[in-house]
Amino acid sequence: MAGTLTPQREEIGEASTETSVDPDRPWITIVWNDPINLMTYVTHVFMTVFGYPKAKAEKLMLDVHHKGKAVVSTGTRERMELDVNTLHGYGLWATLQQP
Amino acid sequence: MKITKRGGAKMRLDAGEPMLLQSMLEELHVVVAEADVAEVPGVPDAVAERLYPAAYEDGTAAAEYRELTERGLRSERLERIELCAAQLADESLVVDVSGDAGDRWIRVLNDLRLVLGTKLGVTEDWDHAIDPSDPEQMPQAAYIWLTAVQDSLVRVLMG
Repeated sequence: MAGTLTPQREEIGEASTETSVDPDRPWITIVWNDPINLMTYVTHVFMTVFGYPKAKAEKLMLDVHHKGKAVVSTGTRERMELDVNTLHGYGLWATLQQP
Repeated sequence: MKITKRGGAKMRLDAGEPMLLQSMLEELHVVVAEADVAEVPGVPDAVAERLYPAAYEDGTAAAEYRELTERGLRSERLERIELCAAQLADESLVVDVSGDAGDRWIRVLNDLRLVLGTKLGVTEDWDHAIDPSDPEQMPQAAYIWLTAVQDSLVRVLMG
């Protein structure tokens, strides 16, 4: 699933209600800090879900821990909704937005 | 409890721990089956909101997203709990946590900690000292134990 970093052409459907923004602009998945999820676990989830190497997964985890959040993937809205769903399945606090 | 790696990852429990985990999983199954963000409008359910976080800042978009995803997440959680519980059914002290089983166990242990930690109001600087006079002493001890089990298991699975 490492391909999530490659922005894909968005299939515009009823999801594109924000008429004032460029529908092709990528969406992002954000993971937020929380007091329960362990640092080791969060790193493991980033490696498992996104196929990130350990160094990258650890850097993202530390960003979550120290900065309060980190952008963990970028792409179409549909793709980000799937990523958020997967991360929720692992108990991480994830949201998506179009910055 | 300790996790060993030789010949496939295994969780080696101490006497009494299989039953303890079984009862925790039974309780978790009930909580997960019942937790529903939208169940009582206007009454926030902290556990449900932690298991099914808002995906969007916008409340309407978040509600629509939950409508599509919450049921699937719930049934996957219940299935993982059932499969983990089945591994404890014979009260064996050695539990296979290699491959898919390991992934299931760290997620179920995480759900146990999410539910318990949310009920205990765990914060970032929550210290792990247990106050013996505190009625929450038992769940606190359980939370600390689950944290140690999950952390050991994740470290072994990460290699």
